[in-house]
Amino acid sequence: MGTALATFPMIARAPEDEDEASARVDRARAGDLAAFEAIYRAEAGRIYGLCLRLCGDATTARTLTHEAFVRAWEKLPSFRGDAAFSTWLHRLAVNVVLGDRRANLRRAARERDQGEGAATTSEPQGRVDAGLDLERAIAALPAQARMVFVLFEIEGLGHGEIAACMGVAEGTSKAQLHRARELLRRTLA
Amino acid sequence: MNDRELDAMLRALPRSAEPPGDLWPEIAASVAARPRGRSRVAWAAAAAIAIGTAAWWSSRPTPGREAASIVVEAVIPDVAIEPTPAPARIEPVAAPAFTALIPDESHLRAASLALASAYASRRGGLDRTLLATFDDNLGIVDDAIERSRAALTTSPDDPGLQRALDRAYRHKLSLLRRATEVERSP
Repeated sequence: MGTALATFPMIARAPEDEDEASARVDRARAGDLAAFEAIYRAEAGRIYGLCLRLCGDATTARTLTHEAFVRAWEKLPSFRGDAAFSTWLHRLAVNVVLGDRRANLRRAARERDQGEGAATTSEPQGRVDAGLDLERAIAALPAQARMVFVLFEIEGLGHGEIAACMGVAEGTSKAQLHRARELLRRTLA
Repeated sequence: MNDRELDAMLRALPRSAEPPGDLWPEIAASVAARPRGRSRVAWAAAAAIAIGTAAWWSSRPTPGREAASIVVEAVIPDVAIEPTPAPARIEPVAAPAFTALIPDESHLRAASLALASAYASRRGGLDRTLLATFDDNLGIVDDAIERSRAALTTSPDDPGLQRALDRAYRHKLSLLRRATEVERSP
């Protein structure tokens, strides 16, 4: 994943009627594509924001947002309402991003084994220029530290969940969070 | 910067970001290639059957058939607004010139025309709510096809647009196939 962070224009999310949102999910689950479009309109900003923060690259985030919604359409019939729909959709998007990262790592490993050049998953290291805001500082974190940081600090997942999602030990998650916070403090000082 | 200051900045971070452009047309087209409830192998087999059916159907020596099917395709979204469960009326009209913009478009279009014809012939026995859902969705997919074709006329070599058009057609085939398979209401 690249390090280019596009502008991060934030949008406010209008509150909406829970019954209406629930009915929309029911219709989409039954195959109503127009209802699914309404879900996209309501959730695209949060899903794109999540993907952008996790991968740190606007082009990749766009692709992953697309994939997350396609995956959501496929899996909607299995949504039983045990969790809030937005929570379900967020977890699904997290899995899409992490799956993409795993695929990139596998591909990079194959290319290294085949002597086809350096790995493509370069991780941004070191300080960013002074004056860059928190978003840019997060995007400049090393990939694993960034993902742990975003999932823990912004998305509210626990270390156990993060470890399970990312396929790492819980201690690794805690260490990466500590590393991310330390890097951010230094970068933003 | 200390931890407290960092936490304060984090709390102030908004949770949303505006995507670069509207992703919906591409998403709508993509769901076509991966319909629900069937494996991709089953979907590929079903699509092959649909295309085979269309090939057989298009080889029948019926004058005006092509033109009639075009009318059917155009009529379907309108029937959703006027939910009269009568079979769509089919009248021969002069067929407009058609130019394929992607390699498989002729086959995909022929398959969708054949299935649209089958769908039109059995609309009268289908539940109105179901009809409206199918018609709404078909309208969205037709819109995606139109937009993709319009964009391809200016950027004919764009692989993303070519994929979007291909997916939109496959979604249309999937929808029409389901519409023709659903059981009639008693």
